Amino acid sequence: MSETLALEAKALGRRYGSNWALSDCSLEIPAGSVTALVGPNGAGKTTLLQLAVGLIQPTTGTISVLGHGPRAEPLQVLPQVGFVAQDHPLPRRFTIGETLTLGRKLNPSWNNAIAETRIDELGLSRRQRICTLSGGQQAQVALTLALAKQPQLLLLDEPVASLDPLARREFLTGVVQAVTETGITVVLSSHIVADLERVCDRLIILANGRAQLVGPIEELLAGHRLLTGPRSDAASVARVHQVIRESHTERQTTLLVRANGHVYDSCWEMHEVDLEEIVLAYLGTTRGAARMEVPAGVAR
Amino acid sequence: MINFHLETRSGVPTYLQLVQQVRQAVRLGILRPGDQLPTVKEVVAQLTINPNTVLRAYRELDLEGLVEGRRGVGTFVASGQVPLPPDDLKALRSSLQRWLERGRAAGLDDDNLAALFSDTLRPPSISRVA
Amino acid sequence: MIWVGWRQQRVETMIAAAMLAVLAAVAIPVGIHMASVYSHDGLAACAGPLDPVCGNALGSFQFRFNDLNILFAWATIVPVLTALLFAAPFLVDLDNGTYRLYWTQSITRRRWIVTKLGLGVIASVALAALFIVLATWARTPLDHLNGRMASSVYDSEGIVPVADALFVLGVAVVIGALWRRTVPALLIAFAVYVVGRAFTDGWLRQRLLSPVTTTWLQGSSSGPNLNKALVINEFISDKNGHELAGLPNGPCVQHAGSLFTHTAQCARPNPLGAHVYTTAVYQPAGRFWELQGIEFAIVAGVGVALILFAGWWTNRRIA
Repeated sequence: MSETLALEAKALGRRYGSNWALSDCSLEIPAGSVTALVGPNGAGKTTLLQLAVGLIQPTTGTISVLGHGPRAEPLQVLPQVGFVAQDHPLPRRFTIGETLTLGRKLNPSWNNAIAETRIDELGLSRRQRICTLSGGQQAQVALTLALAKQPQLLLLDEPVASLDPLARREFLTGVVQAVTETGITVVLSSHIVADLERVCDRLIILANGRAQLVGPIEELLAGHRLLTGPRSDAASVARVHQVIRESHTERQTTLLVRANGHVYDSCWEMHEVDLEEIVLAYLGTTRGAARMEVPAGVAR
Repeated sequence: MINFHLETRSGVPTYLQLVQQVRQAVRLGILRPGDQLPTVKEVVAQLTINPNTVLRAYRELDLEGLVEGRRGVGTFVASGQVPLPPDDLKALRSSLQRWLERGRAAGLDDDNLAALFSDTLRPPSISRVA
Repeated sequence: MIWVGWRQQRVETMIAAAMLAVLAAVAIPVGIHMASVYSHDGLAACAGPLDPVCGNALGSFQFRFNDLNILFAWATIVPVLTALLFAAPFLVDLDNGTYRLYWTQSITRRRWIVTKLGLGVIASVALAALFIVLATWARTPLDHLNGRMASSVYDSEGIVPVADALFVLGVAVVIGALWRRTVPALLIAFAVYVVGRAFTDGWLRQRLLSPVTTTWLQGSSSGPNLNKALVINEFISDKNGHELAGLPNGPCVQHAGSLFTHTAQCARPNPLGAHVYTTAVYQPAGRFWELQGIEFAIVAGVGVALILFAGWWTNRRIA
């Protein structure tokens, strides 16, 4: 890698009409990482990825990809970035072979051997038309197009959202295999947190146009705890730790905190949390609050 | 050759699950000294996990002395790993079986038996901080 | 990118070629037949419609091959429809979101725009040109007799069909660039063309150059030959060209390019005596190329401007 940061955003903002899809968003994505980009619809995930690839322009702030501005220097950035847009657009009337030719003609760094090997491994024939392929197969072809140009950075906008579980698994396998073979940096936006936990080592939670949480997944899992105890107010805990979410029943209070050091409090019972709960807490969903019952069975 | 599996809901980090499965396999004699572990590529393709996770697991096992990596060739079970003698294993297994029968006879179901076992094995360390 | 552009345009090109082929399949045999009848019957050597010998022969010739007139009157739509076809690949990529694929390969957005629009322009112009060649060749004898100023002829020969094609292409791609819906863009572009064509045929063309006004003594043979001209107005007047009102019957007029030849003779008696004149306001046949040139400059100019705007807008604005 020539840059240690694959992507850097500083106070990035993008407005549509009167609505700010992203506002004051600052984050860094180190090279070689596989980052999960998580957030509700309209949070700005697609906007962020489109800004990174130069499809749209920032309203405020800057974004730099592999050291260059995507809109200002497209010919420096585009050959190094593989992008699969939401619902993996492809030329529907083309055959797979013609789609590969498209990739070859439009990308000077195209490696046809990689493309053909992938297509063969997927069990697809070059003569099949794109419109006859299943959703999963189309997503795989789109991924092939993105990988065969040998990029340093791969940006995937909800690539598996509309796919069945098997197709999802196969797609993600393709992604991790690419990471294994080339050390490519990946940013992958998705709703489905469970998938991301296996594949990604970093997390960005985007909500309300801002980066709410950024960091290595392992650190985040180690740094967040669920505290349960008798009904009380969170003030004493909040003085030391960051309370992300609190919920109360008649007799019990449950807090999800980002621990600032160790948690010492005789009132509270402490449990680990999994990634999905952390994400839900930051996204502020009431669904998450309902789940904060007394945890079952063995301590995690 | 060992086939890894992943329990996503167990709360145990992925790399640790791989480490534990290798340790277990060596103990039970499924993996013997000199056997090759699956390559990173193979594990990644099989489990759809981040390659760093596999590398970390193998590094951990290497530090423990359980395996050794040979550059350009692969990762192999280190020599000097002595699995439990099969006779001992057999004896332990049958006494465990008897314990299970006693527990069931006492009215405990599988979940309760498992809870009792893990509680005794590994008393909760982080539940309550005084 | 050129390969990609052509490949995307392949179906449209085939449809357009098929349309032209169907037209040719009808027009060519008729054209050949008509040409042979024309020379066989020696109609070219005819002195004119007033000649008692040829008069009837010419009349029946015109009547016999009138279908070709009707065919090409409708066929003026062909270059326009094919231009809409060639606008489609550009529109569709913006409409259904596949531009997100093309603009994230390793080419600049500008290259994509220039190639797609350029290929659309080339294809539309080429097809319009072929259409002109076909129409001009097939209609040769008829044009000889009737001139080319009638709108169904004027709009299918010369260079105006190319302008029409560019105009329609321009309207379609601008709507597509601004609104990003394919079918409405094509429909609206077609509707704009229809309105524009009615406007041009009915009003604009007559005024591109100041029309000629001529007054002549009715019944004499010193009047202009209005056979092949574009007659805007013709009325009975006094010597100075002022229209005379209050006459029991209108003047005898027929317009250029019709079935029957124009005649300056009136069969009815003249109630005011011998000194009644006819005044005609018209564009003479000789101005065909001049008018075509001016109309081309305007219509194609608008079309090209729209295309350039669509390209510029797409490059700067799309989100």
